[in-house]
Amino acid sequence: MLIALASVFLALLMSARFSQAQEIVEGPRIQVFAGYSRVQFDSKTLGFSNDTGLNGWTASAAYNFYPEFGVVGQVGGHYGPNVRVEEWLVGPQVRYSRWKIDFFGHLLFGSAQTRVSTSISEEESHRTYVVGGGFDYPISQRFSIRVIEADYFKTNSFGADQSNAKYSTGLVFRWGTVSRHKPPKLASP
Amino acid sequence: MRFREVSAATVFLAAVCLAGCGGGTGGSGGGGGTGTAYVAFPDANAVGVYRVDSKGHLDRIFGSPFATGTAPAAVLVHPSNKFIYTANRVGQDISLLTQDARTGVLTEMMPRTPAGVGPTSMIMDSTGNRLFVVNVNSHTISVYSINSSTGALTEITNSPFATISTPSAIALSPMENFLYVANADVGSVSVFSVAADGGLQLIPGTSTFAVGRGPKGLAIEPSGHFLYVANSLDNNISIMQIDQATGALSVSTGSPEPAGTTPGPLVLGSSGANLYAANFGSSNVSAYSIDSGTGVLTPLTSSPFSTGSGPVFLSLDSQFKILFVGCQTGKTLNHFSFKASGGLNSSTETVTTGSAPAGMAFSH
Repeated sequence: MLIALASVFLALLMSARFSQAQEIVEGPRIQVFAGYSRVQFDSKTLGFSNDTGLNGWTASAAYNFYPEFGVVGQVGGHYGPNVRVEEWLVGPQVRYSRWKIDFFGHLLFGSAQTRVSTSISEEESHRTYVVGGGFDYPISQRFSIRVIEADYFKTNSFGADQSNAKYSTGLVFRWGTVSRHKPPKLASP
Repeated sequence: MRFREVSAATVFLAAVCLAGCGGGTGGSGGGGGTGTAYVAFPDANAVGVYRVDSKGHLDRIFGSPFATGTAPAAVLVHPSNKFIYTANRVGQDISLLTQDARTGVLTEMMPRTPAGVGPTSMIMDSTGNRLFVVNVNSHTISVYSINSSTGALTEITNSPFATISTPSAIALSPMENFLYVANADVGSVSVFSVAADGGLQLIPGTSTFAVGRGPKGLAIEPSGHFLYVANSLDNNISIMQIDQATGALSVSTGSPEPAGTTPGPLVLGSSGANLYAANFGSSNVSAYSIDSGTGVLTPLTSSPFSTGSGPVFLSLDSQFKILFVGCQTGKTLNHFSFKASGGLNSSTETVTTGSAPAGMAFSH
């Protein structure tokens, strides 16, 4: 798991660094996403016979300082038989545009509230983190379709660690522009 | 440009792979799936439920423990795995519970079935049609027929059946035609024939046979030739030969075999070639090999094996081949895997239960 996280971030940093070589790079200043998401919740850690599929929603807002880098805040709610999870996180986001597709990745930290109802109902707040990414396909100047966002969603509730998977899709609203210019070349001696 | 594309692809693929790692990699580990373990907690008036894996790791079911009658002293799982029973010593009744297959939650089916005074142990025949319950304070054995669809218990005609003295343990012969009852106060074992309807009758002629003082545990090796009796006050194990035609007992060669301090529960290994005795006073388990011809017990290398404080039951998970030990004083559950010789590999993992466990059973 640590190796996977390190490889994600190494790739993220390299993408951002080599983006500096472009002459002019542009991206949206603000991105707002909302859509459907599904969580495969690791309920075997609670003694269930299988994982539990939760259906719900995810929304996020990103502010990009550079075309390739910004910060994003994300909230979500996921509901299913016996289990409910609601989360809120914030963290860095990186972007890269190519072939008219916007790729992105993020590493988010925050809190979640997990509620489990069987013969009893208990609710617990706990820390959580998300690492993942996906890609958006622009359909107009202002809007994109988030084709897929895939996240590794870690929770720790009721004395156990849950390794959950989250998949989201929906609509992205883009507003404003942020750009970067390539520094001029120095004259040869 | 090429490196940026590779980096972007790496980001995306890593994210997808990490997401794929989610959902189902947490919780109880070990290969080979999981089973379910049920532990009776008399002080909590409840039965605890755990997922158990092939390494003996226990994960508590969310919401466990689940309420039963008052002071469950024993727990048993029907061979169909659909019904769980507890013998409630203070409540003087039997609880029937069913389990949600997905969440593992137990629900008790009311009303409870009356038993005698002080039901403390139970055994069931291999078909799941008959339940035998020891009532230690009324000196009787209650016998019930079991409804295979609902698990409901119906006491058979003439039940309960009187025993000689304080019954402390029972064992069914492999053919299920004889029932052996340890009489704790008088140092003997009584033999009953078992009728087709489960009715009990002392065998003709001599039906009670002397063993050591304070017999508290019984085990019959799979061939049905030898009965082992743990004598808690003599710190040894009697070896009794069984006449398979009449059920009568006779003292066998090598009897008695020394055990630890205050031996009680006995259990056979999954192959039937080994015998294990929990010694309450010395907090360990004595392990023996069984000579199939003579029934003689030979202590295994490194026996006895240390447990938590005050072991009061042994329970074998026959699918995963893990031996669990419930410790009353320490309020813990230990477990052992088996060496090829029959000796025990102790685990460093101890489950602290918070309440003294009294019995354990498994379903797979």
